[in-house]
Amino acid sequence: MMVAKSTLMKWHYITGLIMIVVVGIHIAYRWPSYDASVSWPAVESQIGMAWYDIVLLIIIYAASYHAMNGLRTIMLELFHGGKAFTTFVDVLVIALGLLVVIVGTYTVVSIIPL
Amino acid sequence: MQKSKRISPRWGLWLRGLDEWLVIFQKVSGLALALYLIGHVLAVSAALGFGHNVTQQQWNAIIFGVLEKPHIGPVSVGALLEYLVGVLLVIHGANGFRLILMQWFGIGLPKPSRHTFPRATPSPSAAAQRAYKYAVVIVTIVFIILATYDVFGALLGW
Repeated sequence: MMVAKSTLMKWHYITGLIMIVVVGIHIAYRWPSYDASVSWPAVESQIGMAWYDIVLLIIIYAASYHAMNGLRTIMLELFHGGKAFTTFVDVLVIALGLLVVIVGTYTVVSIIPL
Repeated sequence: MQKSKRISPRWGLWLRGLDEWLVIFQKVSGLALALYLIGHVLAVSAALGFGHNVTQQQWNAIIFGVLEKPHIGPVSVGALLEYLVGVLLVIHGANGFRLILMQWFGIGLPKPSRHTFPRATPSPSAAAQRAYKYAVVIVTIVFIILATYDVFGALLGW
């Protein structure tokens, strides 16, 4: 199924805007000390908050679309290999995106305290 | 129909000014962040036992036993990489927000007008363009200062 490049880019922009908020929250939790924020007590506290886990899920979905569409665009700009190459790139980015989504969702849904 | 040959971008020709640097930073940081995303999700998920072995031992074994273990002097290579990823994120995010404002919402661009002869196509509003670009640079510099304090503050005695 062909999707128009303009539609792909519209969602690229939408996921980009979403990520400015959710990745901003994720980065803010590294403040004021990166080392302290990745110590086990801090991590246990972060993943124990349901709303933070939902933020992580939003990052996983938005980032995987945004990253894979970006990766596809860069590869198709740099290398011109015709239709077969485009199909190869499409399959590659969809597979990588699914890997991130499945592993990330499985982990976060398993730890979310509901 | 004559088949035209497509030419890949010649990166050296792009190094002309801030616009070109922002294009290159956006592409290179995007590529690095896309690859980082895959590694980050897999590594953190493994450290959390994929949600089924959420223990301090498992977390410490992968995060501090593998990723944060190599050091350059007092600095952990893992923390250094996270710092660089943070810098790439802010460059990509700030410049990406600029691109969204211009390319999607058209803010800072002149209204489109009919082409006349000779083709005097109006150039984008230079003042608005400059403001965007300098805003990207300022946001990046402020973030780098904060991130340096965040990651290396204790080591540097701040």
